[in-house]
This record gives sequence, C-alpha cells and structure tokens, in this order.
Amino acid sequence: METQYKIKVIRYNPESEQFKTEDFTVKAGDDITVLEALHIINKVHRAGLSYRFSCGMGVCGSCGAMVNGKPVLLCQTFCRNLQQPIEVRPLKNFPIIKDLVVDTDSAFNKFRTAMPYTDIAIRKAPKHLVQTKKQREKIEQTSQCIKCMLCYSACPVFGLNNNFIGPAAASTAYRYFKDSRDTLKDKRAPKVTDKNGVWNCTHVGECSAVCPKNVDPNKAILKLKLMGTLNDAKKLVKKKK
Amino acid sequence: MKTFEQKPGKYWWTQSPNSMVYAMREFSGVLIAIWAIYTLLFFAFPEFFKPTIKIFIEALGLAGAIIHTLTWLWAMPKLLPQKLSDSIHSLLFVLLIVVWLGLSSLLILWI
Repeated sequence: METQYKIKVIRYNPESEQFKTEDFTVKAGDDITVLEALHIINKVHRAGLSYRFSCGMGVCGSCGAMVNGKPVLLCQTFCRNLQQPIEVRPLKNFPIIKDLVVDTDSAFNKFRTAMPYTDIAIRKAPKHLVQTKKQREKIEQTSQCIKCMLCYSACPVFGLNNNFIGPAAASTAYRYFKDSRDTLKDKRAPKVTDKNGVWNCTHVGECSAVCPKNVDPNKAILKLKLMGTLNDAKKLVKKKK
Repeated sequence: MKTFEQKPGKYWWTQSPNSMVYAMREFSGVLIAIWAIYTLLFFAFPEFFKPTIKIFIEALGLAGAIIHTLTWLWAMPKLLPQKLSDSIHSLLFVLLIVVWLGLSSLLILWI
C-alpha cells in the first residue's frame, strides 16, 4: 500500500548564501526511510538535493541530519514513524557546505586529542594482543561509535565552544583508557583533561539520547571525570608517603 | 562560495527535555548561592534583615537544593561500571532518594 509523505527540506545555497525551504510529496510504501525519500525526491522531482550517504544501513554514519528537530541517521529513520510534514535540515553546530551537507572537520579533529590507538604494532608484544572476554566487555559499548557526529550536533557545549573535545572523542578516549592493551594513558590523560577537555561537559545528556549505537558518551565522560579525580587523589597520597 | 556558520540560538535550552533538566540544575545552583550569601550576611548583620525575607530566601534555597540534588541523583547511577537497563536505573534513582531522605532525617534529628 502506498502512502503520501510530505517532506520539507531546508536547503542552503553557498553561491547566493541563502536558505530556502522546499516542499515535496513522496508516494511510497510504509517501509521507506527518510534517506530513501530523499533519493526519490532527487529521482522523481529532479531536485538536485545534496546530502551524504553510503551504506544505507546505519553502519557508516554518513547520513546524519536533523529530522523534525532531532539529529538522526536518515537511513535508520522511517517516514511512517514521523509527524508530517517531515522537516529535514542540516545537522546543527556544524558549518553548512550545501543543502544537507555539513563540514564535520572540527569534530573529527578532536579525535587526535583522544589518541584513538594503541602502540601494539610498534612494540610487537604478543601478550598484549590477547584480550580476555571480560577485558573486551569493558570496551564493548564505547567501541560501537561510528563517528556519525550526531552527538556533536546535539551537544550544546560544543555548539557554544567549538574547541570542546566533545562526546564522541571523549568516549573514544575512555574506550582506549579501558583497553587492556593500552600503554598511552599518561600521554592521553593531559590532553583529555586540559582546558577544552572533559571538565567542560555539563552533562546535559543529549549526546546519549541521540546516539544511534547506544554508546552513551555522557556516561563515558562521567567515568573519565571520576577516573581523573581518583588518579589525582592516588598521586597525592603517593607524594605524601 | 561560503559555508554557513551555525550557532545555537538564545533558547537552545528549551529544545529538549535533557536540556531543560540541565538548565534547571544550573539555575538551582544560583538559588543555593543566593541562600548561602544571604545566610552569611544574616549572621554578620542580623539587624538589617527582616524575618519574612529570611523565610522566603530559605524556601528559595530549599527548592534549589531539592532540584539540584534530584537532578544529580538521576545522573549518579550512570557512574556505575555495570550496564544498567532503564528500569534498574530508575530503581537506583528511587533508592538514592530514600538514602538521601534518610540521611536528611537523621541530620534533622541530630540537630
């Protein structure tokens, strides 16, 4: 059975530097996602909409956009579950390049701060390559991040201060702190806790609410703060001894 | 060709329930600060302050403290290393409230 969906797209034209709202009607089945609706708009209406996508199944994290005011992955959002007209606009907190395409470089650069790697390959120590099930479980949740940047779009602290490390980079840092093979804790810790680090987070919790992979960056940042405080306390006790 | 820089609007904190809880938590801190400053001044210069204002400020401080505590108690179960379902999170939140009320009652009895 075909259903009619009204879709309102807020587009940005970089040449005229103007925004415009365009309304489209898409006739499709119950099972179409917003991403598929945009494909139909481009195919049937010849709208020439610009938007990013790749896998179409919530793995690559390319198709983030604001749908009815919420940051979501377009490929995982079904039109049937949304209030009409469905309003699609670019992700918040990022510079808009064209239509729904935003420049996420400012957020991706934060991952350098998190040092998201181990030095196993350099040291080639076989015993460090083996992880027990329990050790793996500790990093299971935070390993799910697909860098879709929805959390940055939802984060008011990042919106107000672009230098803030942000939810995804912080939860990635936490993932590596908890990795049994990690030996870079001492180098990573000062970067993650500096003036633009995790202490800027005010725990609004919106990042965890929008995460399509249930990573819960809010929880990761809380734990990072707790870890930092306990480490400082330990250092103080050691110094006194 | 130019990119368009997006900045949050003045009322970003009204746009989601989480943001509103956050705004309430921060605002309640201001209420507690007002109470603390007033109390310090009251002890220093009691002759300048009317009792009616004191009751009002104390009610304000109490409301602030309750909002602040409840919003933080909601965040506390997230610190636990275990993965918690929503129902267990809510249960822990209720338990923390019970502990908080118990400790407050003991404090009142002790005073």
